[in-house]
Amino acid sequence: MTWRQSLAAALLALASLSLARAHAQEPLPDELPAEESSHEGAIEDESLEDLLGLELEDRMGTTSAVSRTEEDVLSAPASVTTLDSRAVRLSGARTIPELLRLVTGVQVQRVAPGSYLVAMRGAGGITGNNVVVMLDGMPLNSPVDGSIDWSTVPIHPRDLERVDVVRGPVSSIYGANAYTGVIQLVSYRGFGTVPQGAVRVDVGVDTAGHPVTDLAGVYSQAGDRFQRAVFAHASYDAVFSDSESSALEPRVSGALLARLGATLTAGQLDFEVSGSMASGSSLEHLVLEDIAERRLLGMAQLRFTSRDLPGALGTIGAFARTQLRSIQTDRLDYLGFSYDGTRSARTTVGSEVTLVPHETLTGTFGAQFDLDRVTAPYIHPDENGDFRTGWGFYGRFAWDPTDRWSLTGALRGDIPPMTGELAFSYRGSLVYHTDDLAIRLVGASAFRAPTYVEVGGRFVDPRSGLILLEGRPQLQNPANDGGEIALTLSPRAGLRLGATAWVGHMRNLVIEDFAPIVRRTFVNEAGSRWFVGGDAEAEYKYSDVLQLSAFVSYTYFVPRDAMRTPTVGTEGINASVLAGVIARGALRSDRMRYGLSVALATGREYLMFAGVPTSILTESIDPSIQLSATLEHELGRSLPIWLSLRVQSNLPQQAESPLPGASVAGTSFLVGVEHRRN
Amino acid sequence: MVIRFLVVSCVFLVCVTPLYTRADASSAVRLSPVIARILSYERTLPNRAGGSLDILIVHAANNATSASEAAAFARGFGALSRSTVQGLPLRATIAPYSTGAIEAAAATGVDVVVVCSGLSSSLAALTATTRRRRMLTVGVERHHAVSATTLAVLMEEGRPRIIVNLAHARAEGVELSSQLLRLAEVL
Repeated sequence: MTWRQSLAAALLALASLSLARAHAQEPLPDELPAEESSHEGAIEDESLEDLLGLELEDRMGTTSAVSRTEEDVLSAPASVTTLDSRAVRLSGARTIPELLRLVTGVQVQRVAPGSYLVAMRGAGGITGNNVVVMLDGMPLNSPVDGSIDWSTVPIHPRDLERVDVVRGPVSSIYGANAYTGVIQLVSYRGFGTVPQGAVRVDVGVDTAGHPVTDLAGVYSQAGDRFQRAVFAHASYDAVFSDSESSALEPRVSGALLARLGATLTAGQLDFEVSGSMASGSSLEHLVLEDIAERRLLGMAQLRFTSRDLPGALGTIGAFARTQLRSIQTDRLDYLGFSYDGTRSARTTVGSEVTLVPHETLTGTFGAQFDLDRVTAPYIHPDENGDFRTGWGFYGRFAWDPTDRWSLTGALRGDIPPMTGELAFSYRGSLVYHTDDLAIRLVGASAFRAPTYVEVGGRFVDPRSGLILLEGRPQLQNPANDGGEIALTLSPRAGLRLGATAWVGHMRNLVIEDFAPIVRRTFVNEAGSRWFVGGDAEAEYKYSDVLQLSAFVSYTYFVPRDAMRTPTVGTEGINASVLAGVIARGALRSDRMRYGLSVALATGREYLMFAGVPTSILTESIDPSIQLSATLEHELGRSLPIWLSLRVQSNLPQQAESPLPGASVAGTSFLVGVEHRRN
Repeated sequence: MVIRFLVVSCVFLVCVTPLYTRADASSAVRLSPVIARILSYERTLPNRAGGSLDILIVHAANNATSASEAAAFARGFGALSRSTVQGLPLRATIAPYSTGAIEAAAATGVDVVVVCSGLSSSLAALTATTRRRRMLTVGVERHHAVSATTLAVLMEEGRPRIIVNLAHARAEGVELSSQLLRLAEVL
């Protein structure tokens, strides 16, 4: 080849390359039609998400609540709703259950100041031990009865970074009591490595003149090597403290939570410790008398997660955590049952290993050991103060054979401390997803461990000496098998639609049994019950000024002969609807923020046992509407002070629980001042 | 032989160099509205800006790639000349970097400095001035935000990506909304 031929060949090759690249790359502005290359009006009309080319998958973000592994919300193997810190702040909620009213499919009932029952997918009624609640990976459920004491949660909702609510059976991931779902709370993380924090005061009053005060402070700094955060809050809460007959004890609570982290050569080490107290009404499930009681909760957790290891080994993790609880009253005599004198401790250690044998396949295997000790006056003397051990072992995998398909499976075996019987739970899912659409098919099972009261209780009436309540050691684990099919899609920019249809099959439900005439005991209900339901969600971001979301959830209790089971509805009302609409946005360069919401729950009926001899009473809860409005405004730029106004109204104002003496709600007003730096 | 090699090399360079400046130019055009939209989340902007939002695009002197990139940013911002950011009309000018150019820009009310590639060695001096004069800096490479600027806006895997350095933001007296931070990588 001559040099002229070489030159010609080179020119030809480069000309071809030039043409190919010119077609591949985006056109230059001077090549664009005028209407495409220019923009008129406020740049705020353009969505930053659109400019960044974010698809639905990116907009929905990731979660670790579904599988305890970080994964995309869009393709996760369960229904999950995520609230970020802004959504939490603008909800106006002062408590986490009030916030949960704005989440698809979560049923909330207020029993007394600071006392709530939270349930999902047909469970609940007058017991609150059907969901697992975690704060930064620490379970908040009581070892005594699996319930959540919302007044001792050691963080104020406005200091949460995010809330993830997983609906459906998830015992295969979280063990006992993840019966109808999991609520994962994540404390404030802030942004970047600069110190951030806030100090605030809120004061308010309700329409009956009862006062409320919240004080809170948070400091967070996440450096490259060390991370630390401290949270503190205190509340005096007498809002909505009227029952139908009298005023209930106000709630006084306070908490301190510290979070420390170290990024080591080998991995990440995290330590969290918290202490919280609450003093208030004793009114709750089984406790029908309003007595002032004090509750204490202390928790600590140490976690280590290694860096990614070479070869098929992914990561290795280990944790140890402990939880101490105490409930105490000053009165020596009271009518009926009380949790007075309860002391409980649970220590858990565990470890897990993640394997990545192929880039499309991840497997996780782990085990944990629980050590429980419960002492209480209502526990049978033979059981009281015993150390009890529990075990859990599990394996799960996620396989993504293509970019579009995902297959997951999980199997877990648990021996709960109270029953000592092995219970298996599972979950399998198949998900098809693109960047803007996902179709999910899930089958899963879960169980609830019978409580210390249900299995080992013995309550002696201090006045008469009669045994009024006695546990039954032979109780089996209540179980929930379920399946769901779900569709999530984004038909246009900024709009997300989601729909889920599910079916649940509950068996071995624990019901109260009054066969011994006076003595109350517990029994597994014969046969099983079916529930069907569906959720629909829509979210639309018109602009930073207006974001709208709405949901509706329907649950149908398939009727059965007699429907005598308490807590799951009656033949008269065997369906429930939860719905909500939320609007929020920011004005004036994000110096003014607002949130408006309405949450609706249809009426419900529950069956209760009462009297001697015992008879079944039907207790009704009227339909309810919760209205909330929040407005925040930043005063100064050199000293960032935020003023806020929060209004919450409950219509009608009837009691929200079938428990006698349950609190009556009205309208509350709070004004706040906050110094915030982020 | 040597002549042949030189001729072929020159032809190659003449053909290939525009290809890559065109690629950078295309990115710059796409990033311009992203930068403008980011500025709508700068909460002190109404205070620091006068009657308009003035952007200075600086490039390395005697660096054709950097100059071409700056020109593309200027065209990109030019296409937004009838847009407003926080109610302020947007104006962009272009200049080769020198300490005097930044000082002069500050004196004429420039609010934002877009730092093109090729200025890595001048970043410390540049941001010393912008911090003193309270001007927001936007880089176009990741290391710009890591080492000096408040923001870096760049293309990664075909998508615009935002990097925010909050420590640098504080030094420049800038406050960015959490609505922006949640879409950015925050250092």
